[in-house]
Formats: sequence, C-alpha cells, structure tokens
Amino acid sequence: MGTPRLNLGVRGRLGELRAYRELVWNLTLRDLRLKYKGSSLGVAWSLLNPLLTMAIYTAVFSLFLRAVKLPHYWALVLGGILAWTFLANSLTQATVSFVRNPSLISKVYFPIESLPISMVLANLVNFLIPLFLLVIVLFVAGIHLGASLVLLPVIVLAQLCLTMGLAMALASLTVYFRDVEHFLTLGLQLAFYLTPVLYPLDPRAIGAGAAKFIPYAELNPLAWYFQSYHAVLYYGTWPDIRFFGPMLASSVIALVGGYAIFLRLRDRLPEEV
Amino acid sequence: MAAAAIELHDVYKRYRIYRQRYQSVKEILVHRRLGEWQDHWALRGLDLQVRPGTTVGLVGPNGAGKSTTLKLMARILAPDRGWLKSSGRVSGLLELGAGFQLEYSGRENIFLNASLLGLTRKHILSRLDEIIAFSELEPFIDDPLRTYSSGMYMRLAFAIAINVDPEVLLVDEIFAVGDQSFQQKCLNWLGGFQHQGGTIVMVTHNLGTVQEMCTEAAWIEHGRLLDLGPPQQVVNNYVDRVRETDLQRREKESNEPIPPSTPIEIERVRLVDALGEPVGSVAAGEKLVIDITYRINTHVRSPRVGVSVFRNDGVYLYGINTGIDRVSIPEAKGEGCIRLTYRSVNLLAGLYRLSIGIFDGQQEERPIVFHDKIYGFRVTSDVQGEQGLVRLDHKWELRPASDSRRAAAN
Repeated sequence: MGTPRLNLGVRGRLGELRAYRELVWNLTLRDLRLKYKGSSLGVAWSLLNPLLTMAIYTAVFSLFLRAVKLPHYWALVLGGILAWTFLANSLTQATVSFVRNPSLISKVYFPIESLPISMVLANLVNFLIPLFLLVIVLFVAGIHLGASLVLLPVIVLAQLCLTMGLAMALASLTVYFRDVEHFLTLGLQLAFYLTPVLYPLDPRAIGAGAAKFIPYAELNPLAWYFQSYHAVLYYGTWPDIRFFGPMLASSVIALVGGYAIFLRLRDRLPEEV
Repeated sequence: MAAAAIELHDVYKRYRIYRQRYQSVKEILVHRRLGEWQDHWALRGLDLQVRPGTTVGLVGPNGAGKSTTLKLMARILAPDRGWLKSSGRVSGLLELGAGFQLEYSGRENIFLNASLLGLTRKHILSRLDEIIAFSELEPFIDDPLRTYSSGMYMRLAFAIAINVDPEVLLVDEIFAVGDQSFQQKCLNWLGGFQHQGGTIVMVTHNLGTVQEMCTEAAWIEHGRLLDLGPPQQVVNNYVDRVRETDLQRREKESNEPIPPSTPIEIERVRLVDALGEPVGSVAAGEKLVIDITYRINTHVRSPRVGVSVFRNDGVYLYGINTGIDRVSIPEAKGEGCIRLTYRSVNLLAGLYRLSIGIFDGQQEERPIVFHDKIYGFRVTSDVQGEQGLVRLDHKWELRPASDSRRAAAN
C-alpha cells in the first residue's frame, strides 16, 4: 500500500487482474450456472447441443447432398462443431458483456475485463468437457488417432488466445458502436460456411468443383485453426505447418492486439456505457 | 503534515452530453462521428486534499461535481487533466450489493460481491462469519436472495462492503440502509471507523449529517472548490449562498416590481439544550429547543412558522406550525425570534432532519420561505434494540394476577 495506484500501465492492469482472480473465477461459475438455469436437462445441454447439431449436419451433408465423401464423416463434423460453438458463443456473449452491465461498470471499480474473460472461460469449460468425451468416443469407435493428439491442447490454447483477444476488443467497441452485436451475428453465420468447419480443405473430400477455391479459403485465418483441429481429431496426422505456424502467430497477435484496443478505450468505458 | 490520503490537483473532468448518439455503423459513416455532443466540464480545476483520519463532507448543489469527485477518488473515472493521488486502500460505498444474483443464496452472494470488491478467497473465508453476524441474517443466509426483503438485501450488502478493510471510505447517500436499528448499527460502525483513524469522504444532501459526522466540509460548486473548513462554518456559508441565489432567481422570475427581498427570511436556526448551549445531539426523552431567527421585510398578514421532523431516510415523523397551536407572530417589520421546545424528544437513536418554513397565514400551502431538511440532529440513547418510529413514553409494572381478573370481571 502507500503507493499511488492510479494511471496503471499494462503491467499494473495485469497485476490487478491477477489480484482479482477470485472474481474471474466467481463470474465464470455464475456464467456457467445461469446458462442452463431452469432447464430440466441442465448441464446435459452442453453435451446434447453439439450432438444434435452434429446429427443434423451429418444427415444433410452426407445423405442428401452427397457432397462430402469421407468415412466417419460424423467425427469430423462433431470436432468442428464443438470448436466453432466455443468461438461463436464466446464472442456473442462477451461482446455484450459491457453494455449489459452498465451499473456495475459505472459504479464499482474493478478490472472490467473480467466480464468478457469470464464469459470466454465459461464457454471454454463447456467446450472442454464434450471435447474430452469426443476423444474417448473416437477411440471406442475405432477411429485411428495418432501421436499428433498431443498437439490438441496447443490448438485449444491458441484458439483460447484468439477468442480472448477478439472478445476484449469487441466488448469495448460495442460500447461505442452498438450494432457491432448484430454485425457479429451475421458475420459468424457467413464465416461458419466459409471456414472449413464442416468440411476439410481437402480436394479428395469436397470434389473438384469446390477444390479450386481452396487457395482462397486457406487465406482465412480461422481456416488455420480448423485445419489443425481436423488433422489431429479426424485424420490423425500432424497439422500442416503452413496452417499451424500462422495459427500460433495469429493467436498471439489477436490476444495482444485485442488487449491493446481494450486498454486504449478502457478509461472512458464507464462513462460511455 | 502527513501525506494526504487522497489528493486532487487541478482536476478537470469532461463528460460528453449526447444530444444524439450515432450507434449504428451506417450513421457513424454518414456523419463521420460518434454523435452530436456537447462537452460538459463536471470538474474544472478542483484542488482538494483529504488528510488521513478526517471525515470530509462534500456539499454543493446538484450537478456541482460531488459525485464525479467521488467516482474519480474511487478510480471509476479518470481525470481529463490534472492528477489525483491516493494512498491506502480506497473503497467506495457507491453501489451497495453490486452484482448480486437473485438466484444465489446470501452466502454465495457474499463470495461474488466480496470478490468484486477485490477480496481474495482467503480474506473472504476469514471474514465470512463476521459478515453474516453483522448482517443479522444467519437464519436466512442459505436462502436465495430473491426471498429477501429490501432491508435484508441492504444489510447483507453493507456488511460485505465494510469488511473490505478500507482505509479510505467513499460514501454516497447510503444512510437509508435497512430499518432504524440497523441504520444505527451502521452509524456506530462508521463512528468506530472514524475513531480508529479511518478516513471518510461523503456526499450527502443532508447538511445535518455533515455537521454531525464530518470533521471538515468541502463546498464544491461549478466543479471547483469554493470553501473548505469546519463543517459548521462551511455549511452556514453554503446555506447563506443558497438563500441568496434563491432570492435572485425569484427576483428574475417575477415580472412585478422587484421587492427589496422576500417578505420574510429565516436568518438563523439554532438547536440549543436546556442551558441554551448550541447542540447537535440530544439524548432520547430529553428536551430539545429550536431557536428560529427571522426577519420580516415587508408586511405579511399573520405569518406562520412550521417545523417538520423527518427520519434520516425521509420518513415524515411530525409537523407542527404556529397556526395550529394558535400562536400569533407579530407582523411588525424587523428581526424576531421564535423558540420551539420539544419537551421530550421521544425518538429512537439515530439521525433526524428538520424542515423549517414560514407561510402566509392566508395561503398556507405556499411557503414564503422553506428550508427543506437542511437542519439535522442526532438522538442518542443508552437503550439498544428499540424498534419502530417513535419511543412511546412507557413503563412496565408487575401486577398481581388477581387484579386484572377482577378488572376484567367488572
């Protein structure tokens, strides 16, 4: 004590966030508990949701469209859906985490980044549990997964950094531009189909017609993440370094950049919210 | 001199008052800006030093910058110019029960709210019993918060807030916490906090509270410090100014030839004890005397003086005026003084406010001059645990049982 604690630098802000880790934990618990509050199936929804979604997509793509010619296609869909749900839910919820809590932000001093961070962490928990079950199911189903599975935590961590960075930037920007929220919903819908979530960027799988767009699709940063997921969770191969490297770099850039945007806007958020 | 607990140096704070806010990307692109706003400087060069161990009351009209000052001290807002420095753990009681979840139990809310105030898990666990005991909610602590009354809600919130171990406490009009006995408990706690050398900065519109609790008062107006000093003196200066500006405004508003001043002014109000010494507090059941000095400037027909007593949370307790009691006030111009004596103040311990007005005997609903709740006093009592609004003068007696039976038979 005894030292001035105003005009914190980056280091000060981070130290303060650390001091408030109990809050981040409590908010995460709150987000987890409130999500399924009142529904009779409770937390089971976090398992059921991706399972049912997977069933629908598998049926649509492999039975009706016959577009994807892959064995055990459901396994690829399930991995993709889980990772996408983590990204999309985190971002939609974190984006409004400041504007939905104006009285908290404008009346109490605390590291307000705890709000988007805890949203992302709650979604991380909702991602990790079914992901763990998926890995078990894949083994039981006899789908061959290789040693590359050890990279799964690295890919999850990279996605976590990306999501955190985007979440903090979007939450801050939404205070100034309220329709970020609506653009995000639309953007995520579009990105869902443009990103290889339900299909791999693999000419053998998606047919020659679509294959000519692969070089463009590879420019999409989200593709780097999902290509890496598909490699370790479906093909059982090591991720292509052309994707894996940029993925790691982009995750760090997103985290640092998103936090920088947040810090830049931080001081005026309590009065603008 | 010891270093200031909080020091504000030449602090400026600007708000954007949006006339229109462009919140969609389309609008922002069209107008190339976030909205149409005017800059409003809430603080313009505020200098203020709060010394450790003092209790400073911020007084001033609405919009003077008092709450902004508190928010800056709490670090919720950042200054646009100037700097402020604080030493010690500053804790704001600006929003009690922030982040409370209605579905959570009282106990779970303690953890959530306390961590929002920056407490570690270890600290919360070590204080849990104390918080629950102070809130007096032991039997209900595991019930969901939505089953609580608003009084219980505030009790829990206050109990958590004070267990943050602050060195500097920022208080914004929170004395209406729970029922009267809990209010008294909070005031006692604040008294103990002061006694142990804690620093308090408070914003309240109750000038009585300022005079009662503060060691210093700071008068803030138009975002600047106008006066800092002993509460009695600052409050008097402030009340004088309010009266003056009131007068000027009334003169401006009226199209008629401007009278020299209002027909009647209240010049001075003093609370004195049985010996005629000025006091700020009175023991429950004792005598309280209010001397009201007024000046009649122009002829008023049968003026009436009225005094109303309010509990600190605004509950109206008692009002009386000279008209009801058939006391006539001389109509002659010049200074006069009327004394109102409450023979026994049968109230519970706590803070009370007084409104004093002078009315035209003919149109009683329109006061000529009205000082709304700007005076106050404290009632002290040795008795703990009384409840309700007033103390009914009473005694207990044990009687032989046969007596009452006979009385009932008759």
